[in-house]
Amino acid sequence: MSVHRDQQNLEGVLDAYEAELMATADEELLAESDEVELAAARGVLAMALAVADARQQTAAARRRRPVHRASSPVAVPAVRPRPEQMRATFSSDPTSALDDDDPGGLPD
Amino acid sequence: MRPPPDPIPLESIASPAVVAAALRDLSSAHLLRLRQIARMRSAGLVGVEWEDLLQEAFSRILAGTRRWPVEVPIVAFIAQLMRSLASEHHRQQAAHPFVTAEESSDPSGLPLAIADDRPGADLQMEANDFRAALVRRLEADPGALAVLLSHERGETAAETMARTRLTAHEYDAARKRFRRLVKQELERGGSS
Repeated sequence: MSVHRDQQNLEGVLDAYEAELMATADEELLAESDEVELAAARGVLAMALAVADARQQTAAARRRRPVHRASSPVAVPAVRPRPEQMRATFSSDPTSALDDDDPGGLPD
Repeated sequence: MRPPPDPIPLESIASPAVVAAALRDLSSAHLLRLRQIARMRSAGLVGVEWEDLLQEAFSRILAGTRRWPVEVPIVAFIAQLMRSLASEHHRQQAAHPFVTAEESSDPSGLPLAIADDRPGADLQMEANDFRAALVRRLEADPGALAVLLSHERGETAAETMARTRLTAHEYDAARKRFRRLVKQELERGGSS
């Protein structure tokens, strides 16, 4: 119980100290601190900003990058012979198209 | 039944760019305030230094996992965030105590002894030591003690001065001594 009370009391001291820090004039606070303390705080902020910046750049690069995945199906335009071509090719003799003089062209 | 209203209106939440700009604009005095607050909130935490706590607060606000309402002064918001983060760390450390088992040659594999490395115990000891040292020093300085009591009672400066019969100049000097005293004890007891 007394430990709990001590902890609460300590919280009270810390809260009082925080309130004092907030109420202290800037120039007074600067006079009470040294360059090393300030440099250390600046370092922490610079690190946090750099990490956030790197995260944003990575996210932006991911959004810009086209998706190339080996497993994804390759989109091939569907080329399908028209019905009349099919009929002409296989109209009577299924082998007639093979006898065509012009193998690259349409059947006669 | 209507859903409860969102306590933070969406339009008042700062965007990541606004947060980053506000942090870049923090003055030297604000950075020093935040450093001191991080120091005191990390006191008693195992493996969490003041830099870790401050960095965590900056990171969360930048990532948007803690949303900053722009009408709240950013220093006050970060201070509150660090208090909340420190509480989370204290709770986690109390819930997951570290137990060191000494190696045993016993074929049963049972450890010979288990050391009580609970962070809660460390915290209590450190808190008690810190408070005891602080109280000793405050008792030797009635003016500085009056500053502490003023905060604990929620008094205004004028009320405290009336109660203690301190002049404005004496009260200002007492406030300065109070800050210096707590800072010195934090530097002494906490990590650098």
